[in-house]
Amino acid sequence: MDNFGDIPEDVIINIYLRLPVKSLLRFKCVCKSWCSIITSSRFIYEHLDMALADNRKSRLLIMHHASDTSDFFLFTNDQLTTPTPLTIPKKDPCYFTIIGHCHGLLCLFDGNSELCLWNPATREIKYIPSSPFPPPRTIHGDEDAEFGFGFDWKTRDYKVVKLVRNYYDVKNSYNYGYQVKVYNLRVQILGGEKFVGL
Amino acid sequence: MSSTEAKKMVVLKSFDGVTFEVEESVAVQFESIRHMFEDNLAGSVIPLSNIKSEILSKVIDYCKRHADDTTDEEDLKAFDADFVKVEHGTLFDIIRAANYLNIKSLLDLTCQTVADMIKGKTPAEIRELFNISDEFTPEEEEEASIITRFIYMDRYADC
Repeated sequence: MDNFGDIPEDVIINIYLRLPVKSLLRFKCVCKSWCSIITSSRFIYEHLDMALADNRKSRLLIMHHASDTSDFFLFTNDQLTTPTPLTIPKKDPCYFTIIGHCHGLLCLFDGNSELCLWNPATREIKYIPSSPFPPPRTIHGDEDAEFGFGFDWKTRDYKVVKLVRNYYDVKNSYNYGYQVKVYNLRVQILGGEKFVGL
Repeated sequence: MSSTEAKKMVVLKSFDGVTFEVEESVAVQFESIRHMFEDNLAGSVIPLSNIKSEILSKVIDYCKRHADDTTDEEDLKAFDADFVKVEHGTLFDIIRAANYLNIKSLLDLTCQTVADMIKGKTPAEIRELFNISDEFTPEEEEEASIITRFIYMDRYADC
């Protein structure tokens, strides 16, 4: 019979690592053993490593502010003239501000200044509840803040970093100091919050 | 090592008893049995009790072509593309053999072929292809963690 019945699991994993996320999400419901492989963090990270090494998968995402929404357009190597429009589902239309991107994930502030992560590959958006960061203020307001979003390979966790510059007067001379806040997404998502003061 | 030395040969015996004489320079690609002929067992027959002669002959062809430094890259690509144009059953047998013999490049080639073949299929088609009867209930499917799904990155491959 033409089937894969007795293919060893490590070969199945080898095949899976080459599949796009869309197929993997669909194949999760093939059976329990496939599901446990696909959703294991070890597999996810191997899949990530493999995809990162494959530069054929590079994409260009452009954000465009329309009258009251932010529209996104995705360009791929074979779709350079016909980008795919992407919209972030929202009850009320709003603008988004991009904080940063990493591995195809975008870290955004939405119109209510709530921090969220958006994965255009799976079309999923995840709000970070009780974000420790206040809404971004005007750039030259009382608070001067910069945000960053990245991946910590050591802990295999995504992090949002906020760098705040505080101005203060000392005997009529103008001084400033920096304050850094690091927000560990996984620690937060899995319950419990952790701040790292520097 | 002098270049005039006679080429060392390795003898492999398939599941159905057919013997194949292969140059050692080709057989070194069989990672998992390499130690058997490198440990000075040259001349003795290495039994491959789970590989049919039809498959072993294909695998040896592949390794011969890939051991040949004079083949240019384009030709090799064309050879690879032709090599995997076989019946599913044969392809799966080649995968099993490549896995057993631990031939990385052949395993990469065949696994990529299967991935390309199955990526557009439905779960039902996959169950049939892989002969899986253990189905998932929708409730169980829901249990799969949203967080784990979310962390998936695909660089928007399929948007």
